[in-house]
Amino acid sequence: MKKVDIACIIDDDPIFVFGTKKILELANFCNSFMVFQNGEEALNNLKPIVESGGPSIPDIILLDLNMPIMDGWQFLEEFTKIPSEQQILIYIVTSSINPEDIEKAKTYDKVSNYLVKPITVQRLKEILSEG
Amino acid sequence: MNDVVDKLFSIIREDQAAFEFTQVKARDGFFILDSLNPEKIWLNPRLRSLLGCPKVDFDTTEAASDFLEEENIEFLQNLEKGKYQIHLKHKQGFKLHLDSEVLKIRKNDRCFNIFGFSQVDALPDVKINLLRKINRYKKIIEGTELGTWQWNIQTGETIFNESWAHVIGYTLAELQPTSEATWSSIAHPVDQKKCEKALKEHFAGKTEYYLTEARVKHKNGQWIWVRDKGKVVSWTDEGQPEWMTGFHTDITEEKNRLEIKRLFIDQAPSAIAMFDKDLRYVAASQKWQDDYQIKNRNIIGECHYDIFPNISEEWKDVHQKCLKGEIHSKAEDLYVWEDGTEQWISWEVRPWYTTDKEIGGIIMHTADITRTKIAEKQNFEKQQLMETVLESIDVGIVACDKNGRLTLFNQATREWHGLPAKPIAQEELPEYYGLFTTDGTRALTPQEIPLLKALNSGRLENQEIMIKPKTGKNILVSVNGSQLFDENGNISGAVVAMHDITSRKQAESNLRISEERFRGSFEHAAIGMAVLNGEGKWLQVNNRVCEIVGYSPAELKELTFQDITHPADLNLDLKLLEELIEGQRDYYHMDKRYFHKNGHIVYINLAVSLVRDDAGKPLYFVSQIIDITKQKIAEAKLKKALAEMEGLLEASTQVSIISIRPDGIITAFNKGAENLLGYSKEEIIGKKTPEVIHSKKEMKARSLEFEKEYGEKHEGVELFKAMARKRSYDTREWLYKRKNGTVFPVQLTITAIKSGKEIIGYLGVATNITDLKTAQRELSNFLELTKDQNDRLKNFAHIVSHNLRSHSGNFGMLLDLFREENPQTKENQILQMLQRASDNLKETIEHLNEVTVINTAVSETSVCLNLHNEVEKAVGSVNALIAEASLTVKNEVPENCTIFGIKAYMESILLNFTTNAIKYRSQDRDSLLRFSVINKRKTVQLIIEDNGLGIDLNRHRQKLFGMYKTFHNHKDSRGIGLFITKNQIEAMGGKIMVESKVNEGTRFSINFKKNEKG
Repeated sequence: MKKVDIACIIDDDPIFVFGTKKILELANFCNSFMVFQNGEEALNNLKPIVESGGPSIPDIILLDLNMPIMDGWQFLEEFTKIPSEQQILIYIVTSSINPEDIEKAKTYDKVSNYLVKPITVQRLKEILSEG
Repeated sequence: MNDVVDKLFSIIREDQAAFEFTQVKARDGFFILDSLNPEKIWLNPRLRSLLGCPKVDFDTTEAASDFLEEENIEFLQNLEKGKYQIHLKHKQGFKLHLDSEVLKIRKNDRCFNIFGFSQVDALPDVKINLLRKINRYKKIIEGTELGTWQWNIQTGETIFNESWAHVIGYTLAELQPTSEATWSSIAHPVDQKKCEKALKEHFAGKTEYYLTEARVKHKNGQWIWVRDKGKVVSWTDEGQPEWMTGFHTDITEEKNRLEIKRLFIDQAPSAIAMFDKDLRYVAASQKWQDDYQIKNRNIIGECHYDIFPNISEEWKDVHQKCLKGEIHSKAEDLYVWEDGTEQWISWEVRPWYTTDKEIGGIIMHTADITRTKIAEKQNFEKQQLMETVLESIDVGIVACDKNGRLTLFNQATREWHGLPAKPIAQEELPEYYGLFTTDGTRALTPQEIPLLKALNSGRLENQEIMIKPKTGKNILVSVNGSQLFDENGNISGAVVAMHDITSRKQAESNLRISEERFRGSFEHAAIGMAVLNGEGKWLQVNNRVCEIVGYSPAELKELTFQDITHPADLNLDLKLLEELIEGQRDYYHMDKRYFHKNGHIVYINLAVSLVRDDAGKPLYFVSQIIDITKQKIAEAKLKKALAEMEGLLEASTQVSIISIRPDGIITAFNKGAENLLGYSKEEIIGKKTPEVIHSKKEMKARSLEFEKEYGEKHEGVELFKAMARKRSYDTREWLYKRKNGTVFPVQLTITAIKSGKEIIGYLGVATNITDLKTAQRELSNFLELTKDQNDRLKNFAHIVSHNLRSHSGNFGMLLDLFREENPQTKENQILQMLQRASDNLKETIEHLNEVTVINTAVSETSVCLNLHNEVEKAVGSVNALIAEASLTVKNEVPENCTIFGIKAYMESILLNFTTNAIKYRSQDRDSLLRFSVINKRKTVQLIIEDNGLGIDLNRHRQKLFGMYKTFHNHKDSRGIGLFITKNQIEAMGGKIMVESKVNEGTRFSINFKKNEKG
């Protein structure tokens, strides 16, 4: 299993963030976390990092869809416009099981998978093995 | 008898005494009477001259009665010698009182009386001239054949002439002695008063002439009408009227003609008869029967030759020729009766044709043109001069001397010609006096002038000419005339009397036309014609009447119209008849009912007019009868239909039905319209147009719409009409305006009412759609509400699917983490229960989600599914379970059976039923699951039956498909399956039904949409 350096969680639900961090830690998934409360905050912070090609670019982003200010889709729209040389895995992690959302997610090349909440250690391990 | 005896005058020569007597006692003349032949006397030339007689042969004896006035011959014969006064007659008609001496001579048993006259004063010339004049007028009057009278008002002495007596059917002798009483005895009491009044007026000088029309009793007992005209010609010294003179003429015929003209042809004044080919009478007018004295006999059907056996071969010849199509006529013909009387007639015989244009027989028409008999001039007694009469008579009288010079030209003539008489050359007469042939086309030649004709030929009868005056109207006159003689028997001139026959001629020509159509116009007329008497009895009926009522003419004539009139119609009929009799109306029309002879009712249209007699008393009713039974029946049907219709219209208390005339005025306004619009019928019908109930604004808008659509501009009522014309009917929503100004929506249909191709009106039928509109509005509100709720439901679904899930996910995640981090708490019971609660919550949310998805994702595409294969697949996916449960599955769905549905749902449904069959199988028997199909018209019914535990439907039917309902005590039952299944089936437009018996099994029937695409 390849160890992820930086995992970025974009979600407005603190419980989920807490739980996910715990799980990721338990699974020894990554070395450090980057957490943003919504799409805008994430974009504002990630954009300079990615553009500068700096070392703190996250390897993986766990993106919630339903968020205030800027939702997941809007974030994806903007984020995919940023030119980047580094491969960033984006996982949509949402409680929506709306087939429309699932279908829509498939239209983004950069979106690697669609995870339905809650995520479990077991499921996380499966993802990492896929990756 | 010797010569002497033969020639009476020879007595004088042979007898000395006689000669002396004549010389002495008979200086002024004498006559001789022979006892052997007393009727003939001999007058000497001197006496002849004295009596105004022309000279004759010397030996001529003459009739004694010509000269003797009072004394009869026997009396004269018996006179002995002596002096006597003898009355002799002057040629001019007056009496001479002469003193005479008589000599009696006896010879050879014969006795001669010689009457000698001497010292007789010669008549003075003045007197002679006067007498001559009198005589002339007398003759003129004789020529006109007037019935004259003279009346001494003071003494009551009354003198009539022979013609006067003839008018009332007597000879003068029969009436002698005449007096005032003669007239009063024959005068009609009613008219007598009228006459007395006229007399008084005349005596008082109020009228120039005494003129009345009165009835007098004819010898035959009938009343006849005479016109009496007279004038007082002398007055007493006290200024009282003394002598009055006048004349009367029979005007009965004239009177009758007026009446009869209004009747039908068979009552025509002319004699007309119709015969069939065998000369049997088909019809004959009253006049015919009168003229030929066959009255009161039923001659119809009898042969003419049997009735008149003496008819000449000439006549028979004429008849035969006419039967071959010829027309024969003669303007004047003399007919001599068996008793020797003569009758002048004009006649015409012509064939008549049946409707097939074949000769059916002949029509004979004769007219009595015998004006009068030859005047009996001898009986004029004391004729007075009557210029009055001549002047006042409405007969034109013109006389001339022997040279044709006019000597008399009376008032009537002056009026007709419009000119005074003027000495004029004969050849200029026609032009000056406007004398023409009857057709008015040609002026008469001098030879044709009646007066000159009379002068030249001696006698003129009934010559008809036309007088075309320079001014005034043309007059057709019939002229009679004769020569006048002087006292010596020489022609002294001529006189003609002209009768105005203009109206008579017109009537005659009118009649003639009718007569020719006799058969067609009465007997075979398309309409019924009848003559009834005052009591309503049928006198004459034509064929059509008989056809209509089914009686023969004979039967009908035994009845009155009252007998066959429907009692319900009788009163009105009688009332109208009464009004007719009272003169309130001239005629009346009505529809009424008769009873046909065989009992059924016939409807007729009746037109009745009345013919009155001279006294104004009703004589006949003339009826025209049209059979309108067919129309009546049709009318009744229509009426019934209309009544039903009307009832319908009126019953439609909520549907407004309004009709208008082509000009827009409203003609019908039903109860519904009254109810809806608040107007009453009376305010609207005939007064308003539909504009009053429409909003002006809306009409303007509609007018614009119409113009846009059809390119025609119509405003006001024209718009409605145009709409109805464009389409057979026009239905749309309109606003109606009530009387109180409020408006409400209606659905209005406008239609043109047509009669044939012509538009006779328009109909507008409207229903109030306020309620409908309200309902629509409520519905749309409700729909909005539903949409709202639906949206909220969706929102709710969203909350469920997202928010709830995330919370529950968090719970689960946190519990996992907690257990991971604190393995020692694994046995903690609270934590275990918390774990289970979290799991349950998660599962519930899953289920809820499924349902929400099904209901919100209706847009899922339906496709064609092979049912057989779907079943196979579902069964195959749980093969292991089936084998474990030893379940026998039979897929009896035909391999080509397809349905229309959503694939995922179909899989879920089939799987659910399969697993249910496994779960709820009976442990007591070998389990069976069978899939089969029933093809319905629009659906495919899938039957899924098992022999499992079954469901107690009495207890659970209502909740069977509810969420979280389980009916079995089974470890795997979750109660969500059937709920979801039902939702999925319904989402695909299907339907599920269930039959079940506990411990026997369950049978689900599921209707799927057929795959209509094939």
